[in-house]
Amino acid sequence: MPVQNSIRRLLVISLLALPLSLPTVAQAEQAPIELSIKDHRFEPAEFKVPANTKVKLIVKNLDPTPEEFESYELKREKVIPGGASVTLFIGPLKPGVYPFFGEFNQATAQGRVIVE
Amino acid sequence: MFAVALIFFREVLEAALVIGILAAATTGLPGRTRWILTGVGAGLAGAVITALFAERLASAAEGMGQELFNAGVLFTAVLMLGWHTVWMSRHGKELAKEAGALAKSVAGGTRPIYALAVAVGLAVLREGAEIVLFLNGMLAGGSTDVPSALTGAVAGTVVGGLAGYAVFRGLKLVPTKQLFAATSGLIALLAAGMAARGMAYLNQAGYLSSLSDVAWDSSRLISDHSLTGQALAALIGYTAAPMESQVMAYAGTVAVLLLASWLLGRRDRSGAGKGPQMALAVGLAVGLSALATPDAEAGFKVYSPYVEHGEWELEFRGNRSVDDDPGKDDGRSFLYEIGYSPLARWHTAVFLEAEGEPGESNSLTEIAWENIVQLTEPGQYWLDVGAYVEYAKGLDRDDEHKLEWKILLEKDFGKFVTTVNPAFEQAFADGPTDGVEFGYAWGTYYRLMPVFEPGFEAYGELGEVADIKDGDEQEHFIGPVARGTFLLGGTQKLKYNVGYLVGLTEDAPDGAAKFELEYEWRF
Repeated sequence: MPVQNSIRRLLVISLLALPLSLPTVAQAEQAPIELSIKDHRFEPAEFKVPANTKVKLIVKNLDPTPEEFESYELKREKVIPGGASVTLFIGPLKPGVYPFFGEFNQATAQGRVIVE
Repeated sequence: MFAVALIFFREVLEAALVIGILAAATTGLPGRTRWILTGVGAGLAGAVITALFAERLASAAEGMGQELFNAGVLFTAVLMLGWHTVWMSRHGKELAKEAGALAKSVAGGTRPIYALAVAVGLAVLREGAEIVLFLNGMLAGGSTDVPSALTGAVAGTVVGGLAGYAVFRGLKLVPTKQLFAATSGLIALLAAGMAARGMAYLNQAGYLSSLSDVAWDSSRLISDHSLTGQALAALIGYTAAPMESQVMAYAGTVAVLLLASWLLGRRDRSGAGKGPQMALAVGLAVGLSALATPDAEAGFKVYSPYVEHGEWELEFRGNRSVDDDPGKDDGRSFLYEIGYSPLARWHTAVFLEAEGEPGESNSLTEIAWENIVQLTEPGQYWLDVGAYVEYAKGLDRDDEHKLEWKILLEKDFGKFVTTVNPAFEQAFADGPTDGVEFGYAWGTYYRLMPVFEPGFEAYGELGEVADIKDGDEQEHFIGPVARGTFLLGGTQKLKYNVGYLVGLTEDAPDGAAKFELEYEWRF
């Protein structure tokens, strides 16, 4: 009985650890895309990425105040402190247009990702 | 003497607050002083007349005349304050910018100014009438005499008036944009408090007795009879042991006023809407708590492995069990939480849990500290992973505490998002009670739109890891849910999640209705 319980416990724990041991999905690697925030605007405000590909975004905040990169369609929300740089991952995405915005300066910080 | 002073303090403060808030919110409007003073005068005259007719009113409607009259007065005041709030949200921004020029252009605003006089008049009338009634009762009952009553009256009036004036002055020092927002919020709460008081009078008059169960009792925290309680009663309509009808009237008034302001007013993101919307979140939470009824059961919440740096949140959630067996029906639990994310990947929160077993009233059962750590960058790996750790201390039973930890997993499949939380719990009472217990929470949702995402959730408790229970003794639930996020302006968000879970096993109740309400903001 005790042996069976230990095996059961080991099984439960290893099943839970399994997702972490899986390698990251092998996809056609894409060069990181660099985005910057200046005067509460994204530069570039629009950029293209290939469909069904995981893409790395490096967002650099050139303003002194923090900004939050947010998009419902991309399902991402990340704060970028003033003067700092953060990394985000988006995709794999189906073809289409995915808007994003800076939550703290929505009047000017607007952008789109065009997935083709 | 102190009792009389307290009565005068409270009644004068209430009237002074209504006058002060309305005066502050209409600074710059021509004739507003005249209209407000007219209202005061009319109210005082009405109070005197009411006093003269007090006996006649009481004998009418089988001794229920006073209550119905008071309820009527209160509900009229709610309508008037509501009209004022909606009008303010529509024109508040312009007033803030060009008070003088706008004052002329609101010639069509004569009606709203008239509403000010009516609201002020009714407030003064009600307070005055109440003072008269209280005094009559105290003098007739011999608990005070005329000289000490006079001293108390003067003292109470002076302090109450000063307090009201202080609010007025305080409000005047705030920048006009925030002023309108703050005053709209305060007015919404004042109106809600009046609606709740109206319900109390209706109840005394014999109406709505089906909703007269006491929703909660917080007199241990803030008693109705303490100065804090009296001040809160005047400011936001606090009652230590409100009836269900009062809670619903309060929340309903706040919700309606906010909806009206939002629909009919200007939607701008400068933060001018903060006051009313905060009142909405509070009102909704307060209202839902009267309707919430849970099983004495862990919370039905699915956690995502994400942290938003710098965000504050207030959360209120609960559930209620439904079962043919009265021993399992109407079990309630709910939870009040406040949290903050001090780091980009660490969220921490404190919460209080209250429970009501079937057939018993609610009581505070637990205080806990929870932490969420985001472990991976969203989308970087096949799964997004986070960790949850909670330490809880029992409040009604001695020495009971527990440690709970969960793995938070989330994955998107197109527009479907699935979140799974395997969960472990170890209870202690002078040493571990049983072994580590295992359970899970599962949610799959369709990301249709921000305000509405339908899906389903499932929860289960399997018993000890070392000794999993037989199928029927385990508890499993599954059922449909809807969740969404409302953007309130600025960076504020109101998130909700409601659903009905069906119990799948013998030991689980037949069903459980659940809800979550979360208000998020940043400074």
